[in-house]
This record gives sequence, C-alpha cells and structure tokens, in this order.
Amino acid sequence: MSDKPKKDMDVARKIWLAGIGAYGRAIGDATEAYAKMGRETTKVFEDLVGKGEELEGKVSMAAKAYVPEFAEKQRAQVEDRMERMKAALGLSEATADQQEHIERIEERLDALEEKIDAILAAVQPPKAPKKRASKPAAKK
Amino acid sequence: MKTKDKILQYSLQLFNDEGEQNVTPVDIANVLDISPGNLYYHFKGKDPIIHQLFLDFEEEFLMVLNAPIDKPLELSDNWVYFYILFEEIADFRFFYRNLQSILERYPELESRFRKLVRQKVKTMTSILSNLDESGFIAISDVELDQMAERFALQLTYWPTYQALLDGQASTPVSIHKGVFGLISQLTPYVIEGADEFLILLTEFRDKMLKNVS
Repeated sequence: MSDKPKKDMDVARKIWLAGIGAYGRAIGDATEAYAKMGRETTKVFEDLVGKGEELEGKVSMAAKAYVPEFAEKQRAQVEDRMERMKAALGLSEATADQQEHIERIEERLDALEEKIDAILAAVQPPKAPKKRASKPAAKK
Repeated sequence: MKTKDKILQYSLQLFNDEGEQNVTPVDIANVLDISPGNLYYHFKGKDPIIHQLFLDFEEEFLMVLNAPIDKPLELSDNWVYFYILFEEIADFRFFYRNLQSILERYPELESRFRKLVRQKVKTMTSILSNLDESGFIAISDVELDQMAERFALQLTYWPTYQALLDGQASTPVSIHKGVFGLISQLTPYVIEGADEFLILLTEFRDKMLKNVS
C-alpha cells in the first residue's frame, strides 16, 4: 500500500497525468509544466524515486542489479517497439518540442531532488522490504 | 522469403480471416500457389503449422510480457504498452477466438498456453504494484490481485468479445477501446483527482480513436 510521503505522491500523480495532459487539456499550471516533460526527464524523475526505493530494502535493489544480459536485450527490443508504436499512434509529435523545456525542467528537478532528500532523511527507519516484486517479470 | 516462412505467414492470415477450422491444407497451398505436395514437404498437415505458429507467437508475446521495463510513469507509455499486448493477441486471434476447441484438438499446447496466461497475470500485477508504489493509486493487495486477474481475463477474451459485439470495428479502434477498458478501471483507486483522471483519459481515448478512424 502507498504510504510514501504525500509530496512524492503528488509529483508522481502529475507526471502520470502528464502523458494525457499533453493531449487532453491543461489541468493547471503545475500539470502544464509537467506535461512538457519527455522521456528523458521522466527517467531523471525515476532516478529520484529510485533513491527512495533504496530505503525500502536492499533485497529488491540487489534483484534490480541482477538483470541478465538477454533480458537487457529484450528490454531494448521492446522499448524500441514502443517507440515505433508511439510514432505510429501519433504520440511522438506532441513531445517534439520537449528539448527546449528540458533545461527548465532540470532546474525544477534539482529543487525536487533537494526536497526528496529532505523527505528521505525524515523517513526513519527504512521499511521492511515489500513482498511483491517492484519490477515486472524478470525471470526467476 | 523462404517458402516455409511464407506458408506460416499466409496460414496465419487465412486462419484469422476464415477461422482455423474452415481452412484445409489444400486451401493454404492454393493461396500460396504451390502444390499440396510441396506444402507437405515443409509441414505434414495443419497440426505442425499451428504448432509452429503458436511457438512463434509464444516467443514474441513472452518477450513483451517479460521485458524488464521499469514501467514508465507516463500514462501514454502505459497506453502504448497495453496497445502492443492487445495487438499481439489480435495478430493471433484465430487461436484466441476459439480457445476451447483449439486446445481440445491440440492438447500439447494447453499447458504452454496456460503458462502464458499466468505470465499475463504476473505482468499485470507488477504494473499495478508499480503504480501503487509510485503513489499514483492506492489499492489493497487483495484488490490488486483481483484487478491483475481481471486485466489478464480481459486481454484473453477480448477477441471473442469483440467479434461477438462489434465484428465490423477495425482492429485499431477496438484495441484503443480495449486499452481504455483496462486503464479506466484504475479510476476509483486514483489517490487524488480521480475525476480529472477519468476526464483526461476519456479525452485521450477520443483523440486516439479520431486518429485511427
């Protein structure tokens, strides 16, 4: 169950909405800014979230580090396919102008990182590792 | 293209269009404009063709299901991922539309297919766990397991349902509807702004449908 700090949830929610926000309508200034985030920047965000996950137990992190080579290859193949599908569905163009926004977003992320660091410092002690795997379907 | 690959490709198309049980090896040979003897040289009848088609489908589908993608947080990425899953199934619809009958006739495929369905459930579970852990939805473990199963169920019986209700719809249209059918189920679990979420999601679907019609 989700029991992470609220701020964290809020950002995650906005980023999730960003994908449709860019094609739907703006739901406020904050979402508008996030709507311009592209793949690159969500990755940065995921890194930040990853830091939080570190606290959730070393077991899952160890599992994450152990990704067999063939799995890496498969991931690349599927990601490639997703990119092509995105283009085919006309979902790529809307993010075409993302480059010019990245700098601004990076500044925001720096600020966000500081906040999350502060939150992480406050989350003590670390939770016990979750039973459910946090990543899909790596072969056991 | 090698004759063997051509046979597989055309067989799949024929099975999907006409229904597997209505297609004979002679039909396949005719479409390919080769002699039944030549066909027999590559495949000893329909059974090995179906078997090989299944293996190819299994390999590709498992690759998509197993890809250790840390599911992107953006909804449009999730949409695309589900779209691809539906598309895989649509490409293999002759099998899915007639599951009971095919699995009775090809029992050796049954346990493999069962594994595939189980993998669907697993993948759905990890997608939902991810959304839960990243704080987008809040859902109990019991409900999460149920939803993962419902997603897998919907994916599995989607071609049958689609053919029953709306056989005329083009594949992309029905896939977009299928994806919406899955993702919209998240609405009650969205932590904040569930109404906004559903509105945006609906608009997104309409936009997608407009693009393909």
